[in-house]
Amino acid sequence: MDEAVVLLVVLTGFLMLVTPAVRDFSLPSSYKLYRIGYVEGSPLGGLDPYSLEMVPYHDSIEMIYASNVNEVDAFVDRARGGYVVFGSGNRKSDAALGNMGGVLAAYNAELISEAADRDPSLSGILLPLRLQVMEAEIDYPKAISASSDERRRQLTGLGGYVRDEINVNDVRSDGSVVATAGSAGDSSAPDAKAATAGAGDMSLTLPEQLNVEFPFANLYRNMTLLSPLILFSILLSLSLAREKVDRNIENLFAAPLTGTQILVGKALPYALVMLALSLIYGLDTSFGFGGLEAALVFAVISSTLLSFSMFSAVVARSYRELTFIGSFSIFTFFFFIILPNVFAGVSVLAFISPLDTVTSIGNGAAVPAADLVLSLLPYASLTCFFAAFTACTFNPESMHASTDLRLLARMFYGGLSRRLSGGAAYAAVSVALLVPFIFVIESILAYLVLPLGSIAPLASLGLLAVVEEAVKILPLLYRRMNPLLYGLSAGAAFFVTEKAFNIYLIAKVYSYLGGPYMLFLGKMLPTLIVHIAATTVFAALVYYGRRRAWGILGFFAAVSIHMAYNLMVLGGMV
Amino acid sequence: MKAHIVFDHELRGMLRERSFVFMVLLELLLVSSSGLLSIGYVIMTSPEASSALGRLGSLIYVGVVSDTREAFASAFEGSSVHYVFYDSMASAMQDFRDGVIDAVVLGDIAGGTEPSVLTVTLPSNSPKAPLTKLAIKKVLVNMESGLRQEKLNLYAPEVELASYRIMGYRPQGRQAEIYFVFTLPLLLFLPCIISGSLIIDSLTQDFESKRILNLVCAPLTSGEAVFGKAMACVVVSVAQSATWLMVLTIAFVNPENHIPLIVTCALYSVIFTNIGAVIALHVKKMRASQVLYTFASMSAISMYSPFANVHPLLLSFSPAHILAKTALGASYTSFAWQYAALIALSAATTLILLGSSRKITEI
Repeated sequence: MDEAVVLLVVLTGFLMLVTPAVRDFSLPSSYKLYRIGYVEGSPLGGLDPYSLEMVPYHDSIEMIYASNVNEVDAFVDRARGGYVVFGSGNRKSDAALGNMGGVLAAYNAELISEAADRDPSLSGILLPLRLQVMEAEIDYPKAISASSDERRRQLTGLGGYVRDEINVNDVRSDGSVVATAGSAGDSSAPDAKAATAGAGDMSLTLPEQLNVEFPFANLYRNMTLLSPLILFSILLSLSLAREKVDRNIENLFAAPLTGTQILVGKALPYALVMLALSLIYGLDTSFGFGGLEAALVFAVISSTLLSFSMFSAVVARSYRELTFIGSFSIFTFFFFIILPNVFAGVSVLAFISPLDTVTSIGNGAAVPAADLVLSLLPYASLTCFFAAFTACTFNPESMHASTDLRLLARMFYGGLSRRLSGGAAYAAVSVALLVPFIFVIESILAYLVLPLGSIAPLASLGLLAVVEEAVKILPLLYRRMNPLLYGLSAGAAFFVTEKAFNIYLIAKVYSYLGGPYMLFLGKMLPTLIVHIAATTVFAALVYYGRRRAWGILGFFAAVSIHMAYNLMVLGGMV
Repeated sequence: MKAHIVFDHELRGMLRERSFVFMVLLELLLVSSSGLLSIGYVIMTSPEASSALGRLGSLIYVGVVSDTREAFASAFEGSSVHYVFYDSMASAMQDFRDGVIDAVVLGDIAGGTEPSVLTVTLPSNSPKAPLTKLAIKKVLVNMESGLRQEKLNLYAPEVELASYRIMGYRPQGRQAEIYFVFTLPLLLFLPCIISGSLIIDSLTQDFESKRILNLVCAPLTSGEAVFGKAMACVVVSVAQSATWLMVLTIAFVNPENHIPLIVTCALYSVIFTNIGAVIALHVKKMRASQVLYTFASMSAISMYSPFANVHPLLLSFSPAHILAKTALGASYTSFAWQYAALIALSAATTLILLGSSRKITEI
């Protein structure tokens, strides 16, 4: 227990203190963002909306002039007993108009409520809709299943009308429901409530008062749960880096301990705390088998974080580099692992995040073991890569001197080569260890499909052809091997691991997004052949070519074969 | 003033390291995710404005059980919400429980002077519930507005309400908003915070590896040594902010007031670098300094979160507010108080840093 841990505890307390229930979830960056002009004396001057700054003018002419010179983003004027809001046609003005629409709707609702209070006989006219809001449990696992999605598509195909096949309940004219006997009339809570609730004793609300809860609750919860895990992994990397900087590591290496024993000894306390936290989080999500599944998700993420922290401590040559590697990893985690969780229950994009499993379990879904294992496979593989890299490179040489990445890579592949004497095994394992990174890039590219539109498939396939070929050939640069054997082993290993990692996302995400992802699924054998052929050509040119130029040529050849195949698949020629 | 020697050395060191690459990758990640964020933001705030919803197959499905179907049909027509009529509540509830539809609306629209009572059933255990509620709310508010006007015309034509019309509104305009309220403020501010972390790393590493002795023995004052290191961090930070401003201008949105934005970032960088340096000089250990600095950086980041809403003063001094509004074209004179405070804080922290610089000799 050192001062950093004490400070961490204080920091946690500080965070709990400064994070009270903040009721207004508007972002400060949207505070008074747009300027709206109005004529002095208008009741609108009394408004103080969060995102809008109301600017008074003496008359309409002055206000219109102000709009012409972009002094205001939009302005409100009176016309025929109502208000008319004008913008200036640019994007900023459109956004201001959108905000103003919401403000005026709320303002109008307030005026109407006041008028209805003054003259209760007008209540039913001014406030013609009253809502009784009820909540009921749904079968969440069914809701996120493909069958429900199919049924939804059928419903839209029916043109907004469903013929009632069951017809066991009747709707009364007063809006209540009477339940009758029948197989589907299994007195659900809302049915029963609605049946018993008379119009008089119902708690009613107006549409404008329908309270919408914080929409990012899942994201916020999971982010809060992951923060301590991230902090503990940072502490481990700092601890290792400190040993490196103040040269205490030399004493450890001088002791009768192997590198692996030192690493395990250093990481074990952090691993145990993170494991305990994972278990607590899991059981907090759901008390039972589902909770253990959720705990497994957190535990696997913890292992990835922990192995990455050891890897970063070995790779970083200074505290400064460590800070950047740490910041980069935190942001990657945020955008890749946490952010897609915002779409939980809304879009298939949510499945990109392994935390979606936690959200599903929290909502009562039973997640099949196969889904759980497949969704966590890439993260477990990332752990394997970071652990293997650290185990091969954690030695006095790398920890004493400021080693560059090329030397570390040589150490890593040298270590793998010693442990895996067979050439085919070396090629297969060393390529398979890099495939999780391809998975990460592929998933991030899936994000980019959205904003890039029609260019996205081509751009992503082009980028992937370059990255995949580079990954497949990298291990050959550190061990001289028969190019055919290398091409066969590396190409096949890449194909198998990449497909295994993607099964989950193919089933859950890509099959819905459509596009090029699905085109390749029906072309398993040709894809395998292309992977092997491209790698073999590249390996042959690297092996037989005496100059670096041959390697560059090989790279271009491999990428060209890969890209040509991708284009042929896209064009329907294969 | 020989601070430039330390400055040059520090800057060269930073560019040689992998830090710079990671710094750029980090922000690239942020920019690339903005597209997704933009879609998420529009889905959450204005579902009707999202063109991506259809592609993602993530629309809201509402079941309606009513004898007055025309009224509901016209209300739902203009929205992005799918509506399905059911003959009975039982079949609607069956589909609701199976997650086929996201909500059930039950009831009829009465034509008289009495209000119509609708029963809205929403899921209690679905993360989609807030989005469903938001979509239904918009439809029902519009429906209510239409009904009100009809009833007023029929039963109380003498009553006048403040009706309003929004002219020429294009909902897509809100998609650019996310770049101003999220991406731009964060991209410009992140390097400023990181600058404090950089100076801590640089100073504490020198302390812990005893390389600080070289600086102490050099023909430099302690102020010059610390100032040189700090300046390098500020320059790197400002260069990054300027680069991101350029990237955003060319590729995404068109922020205004480039010079005031860069000056604001420079002031923030000076403040954070000074804070980081003072912490490092006093604490000397990297881990403790970084954890301590986290308080400063988290306090600053909290000014980007809804936490700033607890007091209007916090809001008006929030870096997110200043940067977003300046980028949207607000006159920099409207932030005179904020700039004055930033300049005063920069000067004060610089003086504190120079005062603390003699700590460099206390090894």
